[in-house]
Amino acid sequence: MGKINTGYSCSEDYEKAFYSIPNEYREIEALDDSSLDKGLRYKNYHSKRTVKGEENANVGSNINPNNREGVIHEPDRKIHSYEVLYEQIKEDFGKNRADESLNEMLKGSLLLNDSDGSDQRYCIAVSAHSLVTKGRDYVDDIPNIAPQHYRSFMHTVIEQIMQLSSEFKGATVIFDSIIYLAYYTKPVRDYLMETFSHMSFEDYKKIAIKDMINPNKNYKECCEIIDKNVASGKTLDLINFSFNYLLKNELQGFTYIINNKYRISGQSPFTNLSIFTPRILDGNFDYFKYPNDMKIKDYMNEILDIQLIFAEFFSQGLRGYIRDEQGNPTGKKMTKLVPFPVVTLACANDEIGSEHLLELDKEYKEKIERLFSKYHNINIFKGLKLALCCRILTENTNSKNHNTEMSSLGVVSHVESHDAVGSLRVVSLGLPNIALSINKKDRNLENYLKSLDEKLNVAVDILKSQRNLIEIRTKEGFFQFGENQGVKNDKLASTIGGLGLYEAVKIITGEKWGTMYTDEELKIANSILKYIDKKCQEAIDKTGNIYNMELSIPGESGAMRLRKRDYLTYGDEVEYIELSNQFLPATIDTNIHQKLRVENELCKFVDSTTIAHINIDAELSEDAVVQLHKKIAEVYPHLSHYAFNPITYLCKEGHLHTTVTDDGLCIECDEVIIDRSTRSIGYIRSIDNEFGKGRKDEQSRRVYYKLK
Amino acid sequence: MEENNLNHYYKNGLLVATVGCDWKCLKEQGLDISICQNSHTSKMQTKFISTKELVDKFNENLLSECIIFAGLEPILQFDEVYGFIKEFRKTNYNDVVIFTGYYPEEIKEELEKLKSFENIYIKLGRYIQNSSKIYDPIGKIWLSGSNQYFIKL
Repeated sequence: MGKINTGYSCSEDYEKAFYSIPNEYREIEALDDSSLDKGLRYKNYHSKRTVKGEENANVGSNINPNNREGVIHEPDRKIHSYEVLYEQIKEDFGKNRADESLNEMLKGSLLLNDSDGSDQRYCIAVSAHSLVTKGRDYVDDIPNIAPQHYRSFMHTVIEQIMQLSSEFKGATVIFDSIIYLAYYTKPVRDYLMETFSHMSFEDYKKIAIKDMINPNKNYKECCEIIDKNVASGKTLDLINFSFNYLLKNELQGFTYIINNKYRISGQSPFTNLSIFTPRILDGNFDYFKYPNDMKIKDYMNEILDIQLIFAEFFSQGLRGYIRDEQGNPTGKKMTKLVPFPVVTLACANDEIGSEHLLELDKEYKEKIERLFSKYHNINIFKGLKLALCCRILTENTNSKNHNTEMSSLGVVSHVESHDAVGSLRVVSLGLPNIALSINKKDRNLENYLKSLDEKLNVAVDILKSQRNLIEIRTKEGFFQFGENQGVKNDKLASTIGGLGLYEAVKIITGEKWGTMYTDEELKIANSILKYIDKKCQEAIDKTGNIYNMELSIPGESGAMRLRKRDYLTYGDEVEYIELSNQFLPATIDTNIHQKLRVENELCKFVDSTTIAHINIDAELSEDAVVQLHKKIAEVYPHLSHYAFNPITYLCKEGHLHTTVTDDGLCIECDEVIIDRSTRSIGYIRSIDNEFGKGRKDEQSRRVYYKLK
Repeated sequence: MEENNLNHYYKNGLLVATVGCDWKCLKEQGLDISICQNSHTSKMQTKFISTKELVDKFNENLLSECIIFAGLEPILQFDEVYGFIKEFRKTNYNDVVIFTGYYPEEIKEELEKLKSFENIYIKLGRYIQNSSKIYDPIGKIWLSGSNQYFIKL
């Protein structure tokens, strides 16, 4: 067989360190000798569609040129990524630390999340402030001014999310996009109200219809829609209805576009959207001023209305035609959930917002809960969530939200500014690996914390060097987004992640995997969380940079990769099939009450480090869902971040439900199920077509609480 | 006994399946009892559960907000159901929900006796095949037929 050498030049130190990692460990990261053979990768891509690499970048049905380039060159990107990080650690802390770090990241207990871009920043939630005041100042080749109209604003929001997603490795978000959308829509609505409210209903109908009429809907059909939706017959209601109709169209466009797989490796941008309740809007944006010097309270109703328009269509899933094998519409309609944006309801806890908004807040929250009661494609967060998927909170929220001795809860944003929040990088701890590295007879909490301390020191150094690397790239002009857009590196956190808390605790106590936490074990778990949090604070004090903790990190494939390493090192002692990224693994056989009890207990000291996924198998009434949310808030007060997570079943006739008959058929028409979706970790994906092999296996073992 | 039941009432409940049924719904329609969604329950082995056991189970689960007596036909076991509620009410005022296939005029005496307790909710009415679903404003759930409804005693 012929061979063309496509070599990679690097320092001898890196070459030695790299090859000191045994091939079988490198294989887990697609850095083994066969993975580095690009010729083989190209051939496998087309013939087998099983190219080794990131679990969530697996080829599957996503075969296309963009995906191919992403997947084929993943090992190259990783070699470079580890190289630049290795060299930076060597410069900052010496060769021994660099060797140790690489060993830990490829063979030991640390995982560099999204390891193919260590010199890129990780996730970001920016404000639209810069966009609204200065326009797209991050591009210099296309002249532009700040958007003048709500439509151009939405177009630039979409574009900026796309741009951010090619520069950042993780989630990219404009956290106040709806807040700013209201800035553009309110004057339009006010104008319509002032100018047309005196007009008769029938006369205004003729005007309203111009925005509704299309090749598939004639005048008569539009009239029917209006009569159905504006039963009051009042012109004011019609003005609102017809304007909201346009806004819905814009928001639908946003949703459709951002779900396209534009990113490298053929992924769509991971973006989020928060729906804020009135008290959150009122109590958490003290610094906020629109360009006209007005405050959020002046736009409150407009913001709440727009959020509702979004929630009304997004919560019901997107509608489309079932297509035949040739891709032609069959005439049968279907409903499907889309992964993005990941939507979070940020609702007030007892200490947020004004008293006078209490009732409105309750009503609004309930309205949103009702809308999402059908498919549960929303996360619930008590407190301010700037649309990020993890637990990075703003400074003011932190002080109000968190009354424990914990200290490193993502103090990342200056409250008087529109600065972005986010993370430069996550290095995750494989917590069971640390327990396994201790001799069996010596396994106890004290010894565990000693070993954990050493690993944390390495993780902190890696993150420090990664930050230095980012600064170098920033100075080079490598990034489009910088201080001008509110993206300040020193305001972004370096994040210590973690996986497998449950497994680590069971190894420490010698109990079997699958058993429920005892009270003693819960204490051990809490001690581990506290310790990591304490180390983050020490790192903040020592370096002046922001360190935060995120357990459990929502890594799609890290849970399986770390387990493979553990198995190679410790063999049959490894009882778990993957590391859990929930405090209580989703595969443990228990009931909803026990699940919530554990998550609540472990959030007492470190809140909302993970979204507790409550896997349910049920189709519940709106009232039952609202009542369940109320009850959860009442009896599990520390559980601040959770989501109901059903499987949604799509049947041959296009119906979408969250449960099936005893025979596994559609509950509406008894037809066969053709697709099942659920949250993999952070977002909703097709189990049958989009889950990676490992995650698919894990999902099949998940316990779903049958609330029926 | 089943914890965390949310499709018999809008509150999360501890569901207790009672042991017998006269299959009136199906007999009246000339249908086979296998059609009943609870027919499998009738084949299950019965188990004696003491009042204390039930109350403890209810109290252990912080999510529980009601006790539901349902399939098969709780009214055929009325003395036990009544006895339980009497004990339960000594310490607990949570809702008790009874799912019966009877109409009120068929169980006047039983309803009268239950009126001595607060927060008792009864779902009344036969299962009728191919009837259209109806949303009940008291139980706040969908019922399988428009002849069925909840009352609060």
